[in-house]
Formats: sequence, C-alpha cells, structure tokens
Amino acid sequence: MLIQWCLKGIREQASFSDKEASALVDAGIQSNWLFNNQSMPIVQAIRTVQGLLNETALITQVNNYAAVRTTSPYISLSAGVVLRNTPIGTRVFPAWKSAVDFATARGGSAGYVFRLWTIVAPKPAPELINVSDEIRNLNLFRAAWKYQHQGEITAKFVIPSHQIEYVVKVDTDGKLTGFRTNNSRFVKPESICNLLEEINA
Amino acid sequence: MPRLLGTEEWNKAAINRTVSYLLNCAAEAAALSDTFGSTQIQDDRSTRQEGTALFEVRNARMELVTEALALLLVSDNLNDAIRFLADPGWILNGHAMKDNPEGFGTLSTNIRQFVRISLFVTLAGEGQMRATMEELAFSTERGYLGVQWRREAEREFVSVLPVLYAIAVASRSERETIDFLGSQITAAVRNATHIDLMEEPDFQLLGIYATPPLAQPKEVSRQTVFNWIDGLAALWEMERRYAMRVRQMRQDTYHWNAINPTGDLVDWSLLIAEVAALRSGRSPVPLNIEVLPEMRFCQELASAFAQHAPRK
Repeated sequence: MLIQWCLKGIREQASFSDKEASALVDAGIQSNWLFNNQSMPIVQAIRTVQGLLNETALITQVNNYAAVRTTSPYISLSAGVVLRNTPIGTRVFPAWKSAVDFATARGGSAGYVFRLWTIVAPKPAPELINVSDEIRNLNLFRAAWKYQHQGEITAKFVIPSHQIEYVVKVDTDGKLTGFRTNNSRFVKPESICNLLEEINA
Repeated sequence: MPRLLGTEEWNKAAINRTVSYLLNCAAEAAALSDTFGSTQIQDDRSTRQEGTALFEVRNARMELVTEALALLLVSDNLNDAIRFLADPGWILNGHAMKDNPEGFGTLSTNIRQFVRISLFVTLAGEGQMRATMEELAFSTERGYLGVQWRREAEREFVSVLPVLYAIAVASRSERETIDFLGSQITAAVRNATHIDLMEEPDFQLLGIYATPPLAQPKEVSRQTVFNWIDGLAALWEMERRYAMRVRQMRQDTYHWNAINPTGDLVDWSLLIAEVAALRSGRSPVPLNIEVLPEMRFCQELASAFAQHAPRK
C-alpha cells in the first residue's frame, strides 16, 4: 500500500462556511452519499455503501460526476500529475490547482482546501471501502484518461478526521484569506510507515 | 475574428471572470505552492537549490497562463490575448512586466518553459530563436531566455523538436538555427529509441515548410514532393484530432457550460505550425475544401496570427 498526501477543495456556501469547514476537520470528510444519508444507522450505512462500490460506479464518479454528485459514495481528491512528452514538453499540474479550482468554482466563490493523507491501493480496488484508488494512473485506470490532468485520487465513504492535517480558505482571486484550522487530533502518516525500529531493550 | 464553435454559449462576464481567476492564481502561485507544497519538499527546502522551487512555481504559472490565453483565443479576444502572449512576465513573475526598463532580463530556464514562452512571444510577433549544439536561446527587445541541451532530459527535448522548429520558422530566425533544428529532427526520426514519438504527426510536418512543389514542379525533387504530401497529411491529421478533442470536451456539458473544459482549448503545436507555414509564405491549406468548423477555427486563428509577423 502507498500513503498519499492529497488536497480536497470544497466550495463555500450559505450552508458551508468557516464554522462548518472547521467542524469537518473534527468530523472527517464525508462522501456525498453519507452526507445525504446522515440518519441511516451506521451498520446499515456501511453495508449499503459496500454494495454501491464497484468499478462502474468509480469510473462514473470521474467521467460523469454530474450524474452522481449527490449520491456517490466516492470522494474525489487531488494529488497532482505530470504528463510526459507532450508536443510542448512535460506538463506539471500541481494538486493545489485542481483543489483551488474546485474550492472556488474557478473564481465564482470563496472555498476551502483540506490537506490530508489516504492509503492508496497499488492496484485497482474500487470495491474496497478502506483504501483509495489512484485514478490519475492510466496504467491502472485507462477509462479515466479524460480527466488525468486533475491528478485524481478517489477515496470512499469518509476521510477520517485523524488523517486531515488542516483546512485553509482561498478567496475568489486565489489569495489565501488567512483562515486556517489545524487539526489537533491529526496523526502523521509516518506513524504507519513500514520502516520499523529494532528492539534493543 | 475567429471564435470556436460552442463558446458562443459562454457569456462575456463569465469568461472575463475565469480569465481573471486564472491570472490571479498565477500571481498567487508562489504562496499557494508554498502553503500546499508537500512536507517532503518543505523539510528538504534548506538543502534544495533555490532555483528548483522557482522552476516549480513557474511550471504551475505556465499552465494557468496557458489556460487563460486559450480562453481568450477561442472566445474572440485576440487583442487581449496578444497583450498577454507578448509578456513573459506573467509566467516568469506572475504579473505583467509593463514598462520595466530591464525587461525580463537574462534568464536560464528549463526546456518546457523555454518552449512555452518562446511560442507565446513568437505568436505575438516578437523575438527570435538561436540554436547551437550547446544552447537554445530566445531573445526579444526585452530580454533573453536560454536553456542548455541536457542529455538526461533528452527525451523531453526530442518531443518538443517539431514545435521548436515551427517557432524558429514563425519567428523568422536565422537559417542556421532552422537548419540545425531540422537536422535534429532528422536524427531523431532515424533513432529507433524514440519510435513512439516519431509516430506522432508532428514529426512529419517538416514538408509543409518547404517550397510548394506544385508551384514550381520542375525545380523540386521527388523527395520534396513526398515530404510536402506527408506534411500536409500530418497537418490534416493534427487538425482532425483537435476537432475531435474539442467535440468530446463539448459533449461534457457539465464542465463545458461552467467554462471548465476538460482539456486544452487550443492545440498550441498545431497553431504554431500553421502560423509558421503562413509566415514563411506557404499556405498549409492548399485545397479549398470543406473542413470541420473546429479545423476552420484553427486555420483562421493562424491566419490572424500570421498578420502579427515579426519584423525581420
């Protein structure tokens, strides 16, 4: 498994402002399916979502987001991407570009960018709820080529609070507003790194 | 002026807002990159060369400015686009150079930034390229860009050779530079290492810059005729691919209607090739036949840029 830093952009709205963004750092980032099914008992929710996770649903989340935006159990994140050997040279699309695009609707409103980490499967695993998929990797997900420049990593169900480092706010002009909430409960990804200390005592 | 089919649906205020947003993000690229940059990079910052971080920020700015320019060009804002194209300050510094007496100075850059900046400035009708075995250089009245040929990055150099050649022709650079780049393309085509790149139509374009054989049939060799036909076929294929890409982007109405198309609205390598052919007195479209509207847009845009020819 890989551990991947990612960014997530969420637009500011009447129902989602500084207070709610800070609360999300505490609560974790929910998929739209979970957000719209808050009252469902957790056992039933997990069972239902596991039934929704499959390759077709994952590719639809990427290639036809408009069709599933309120019902998807997936969560789109950005990790940036490099496109090699194009006629005008190698092209580098940083994660923050996609995240700020999403957060601000490309200058339409202010928005929030969350920095977090997730565990990514080295092979396609659209059905597995607790690992993310590296959609930007065309070796794994050829059907998602249209949006490769967005550098997407796709998580599922919920990003746990402990994996969210902070949230900042970006204004319509791309400027950081100064709003920032750090997560006091954040656990560094190094804590699950596979480099082990020897036992000496 | 030319306008890409489908962009009529975009209102002017929304286009202006998106262009402003992209340029504002270019201006803020250093701060955004610094805030969201990976921990690895931040931890390592003390030992990194300052230039590396600068190149990364410029790479990000370059994509933002490219996107803004494409939006202006497809929506009938050629004069605004030319103002930005002519000013490398947007990519280099995130803001206009305006009348800075020092221009953009003498800069060493990487190949992708060199290609993008020299392409843009050439479209605006300024600057000239110089190429030797050691260095590529592009100079305007306001500054000088240089990049060293680097063996470890050879493949990236090879992939951009057709565009470099077109820039040299379109900027009316010295014959030695054009011949040197032509020889590099010929050598690359013979090198089996890059066979996947050679299959791209860009590498078959050289013939379109040659003397039109139909105009002087007795004075050209058989090989020139074949190259010219290959060149036209390659250009046709590039135009066709561009049209198909645009149609695919338009079908994604969710993104298209939000002025957030899912790919490049302008095919820069195709555009500079057509501008180069026109500025060197060749017509890349010799046959008066009906083409797809997207292909026609690209041809008309190239014609408009051809009129901004550099002073010799």
